[in-house]
Amino acid sequence: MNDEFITRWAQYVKENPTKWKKQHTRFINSIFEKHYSWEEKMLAKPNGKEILAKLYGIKNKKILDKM
Amino acid sequence: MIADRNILDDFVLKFCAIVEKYKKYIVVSGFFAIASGRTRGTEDVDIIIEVMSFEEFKKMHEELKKKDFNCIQSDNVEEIYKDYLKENLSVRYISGKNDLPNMELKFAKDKLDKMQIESRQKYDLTGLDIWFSSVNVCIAFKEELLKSKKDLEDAFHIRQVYSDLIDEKVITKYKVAIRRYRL
Repeated sequence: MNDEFITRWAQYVKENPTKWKKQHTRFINSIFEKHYSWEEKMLAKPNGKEILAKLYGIKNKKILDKM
Repeated sequence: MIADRNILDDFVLKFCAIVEKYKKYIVVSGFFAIASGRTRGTEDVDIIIEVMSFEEFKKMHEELKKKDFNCIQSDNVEEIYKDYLKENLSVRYISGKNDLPNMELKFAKDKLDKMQIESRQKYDLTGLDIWFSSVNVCIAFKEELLKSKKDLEDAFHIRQVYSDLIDEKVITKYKVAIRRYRL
């Protein structure tokens, strides 16, 4: 990401305090939705849960049981 | 219809509403930049809270659990408190079974953390009722301590969206404190 893009977007945020959030929300949610979809696929694999536990350092067995 | 609040906002708001009942806290670093419009993702949100006794922490932890926030390191509250938080190590909480986002929680460990908590602010631009470290503190940490490309871009963004709040003298004061306590 270059400074010019950051400057342009920061300017838009500053000048449009009630408008920027809608675009931003779409962007942020898309990142998590993509991750959740990937996670579903991982959990469908035989060793998916173990891989996720290792990736995210999950040691709490109760969380793993929920997944 | 796109809601005004995103997945990350909802997660942080719910978590902070519980922490608020027990101690002063601040959300620091990346989430502040993102909540202020920076277009990037993050896996974790950093929160610093005032040191609390085991009994206080136990109550807060139980309330977090009731709201389906679970600590990924352990389910044992004593272990979380003694082996992590009291040792100045952070612990991470997730919501339900979603491994992301997670809240990385630690106790205020030194004068610098206490100074940050004392100068905490809420910002209208974020649209969130959350205590953040102040604009000038956030910039000082990102430019003096963290310094990755992502952090420098965060600082650059923050400097522009909050240009009217920038105080170079305060930023310098915090940079000096960072060199003293952290470097």
